[in-house]
Amino acid sequence: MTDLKSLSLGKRIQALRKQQGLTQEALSEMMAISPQAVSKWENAQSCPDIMALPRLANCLGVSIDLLLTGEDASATPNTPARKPEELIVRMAVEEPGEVRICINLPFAFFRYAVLYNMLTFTFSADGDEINPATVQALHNLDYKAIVQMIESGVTGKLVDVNDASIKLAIWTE
Amino acid sequence: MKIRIYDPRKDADKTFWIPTGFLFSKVGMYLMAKSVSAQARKEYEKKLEAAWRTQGEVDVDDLISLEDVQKAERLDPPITEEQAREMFAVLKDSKYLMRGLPLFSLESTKGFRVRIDL
Repeated sequence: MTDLKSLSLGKRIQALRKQQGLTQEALSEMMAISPQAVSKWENAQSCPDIMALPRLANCLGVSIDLLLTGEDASATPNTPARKPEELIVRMAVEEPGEVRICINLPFAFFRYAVLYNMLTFTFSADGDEINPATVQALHNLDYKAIVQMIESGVTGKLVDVNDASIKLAIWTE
Repeated sequence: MKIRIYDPRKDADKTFWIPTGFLFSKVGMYLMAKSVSAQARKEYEKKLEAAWRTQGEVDVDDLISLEDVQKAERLDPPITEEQAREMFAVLKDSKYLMRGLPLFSLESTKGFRVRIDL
């Protein structure tokens, strides 16, 4: 695990971003800024605006203390985990060189969608934008097991498929 | 709920606003289910194309036909009214939790982009 204390602010942002499984584009989308701005932070060409720090820390899943210093002053072994209802289930599907799709659902909504069999994807298997193998991979996932994992306190990356034709990840944030 | 589509062929984007509750109406759920078929998507591509030709905001009359509405009214919805209310309430209360994340985004290497925000 990277020692965050020894890193510069830019490299710390980069390390935390990668830890969250985010690309520069994804982080910039969450922050409503350009990907170039994120790149400049990471390469020490500029610093995030002070007003952006709470949002940046939130996006990276850390406290402002940890973001700025590499140490979390408030962290104790007894820090309660976040409730499942406070989590977002994030899904990213990428066919390298073709298409990238991201679905972000509040866990409470994701749970209902699974429970009521509403988690259907609006892609057809013979569509142009996404190949049938990818659709199949999405349909084959055991979403009920994912709900159970999150409800039992498992967080972070839950599914990670990475081969030449498809990258599929599901994680909580 | 805001739907934004960027078409690189036109180097332009269009934004559609749909009430979040519409997704849980009979018509909304019918259209979601219908959109799974390739044939239906082709129809919608034609409708979107027509909508694109109009100036300014998109008229939903170009996207949802009377036939769609009548068909939807005849079908049993996939979830009950109570379940729809539960799902709608959760989604509506999640704006802060989403922190600006889109519910859905698609980006193709051809430059086509779709983004749906709560």
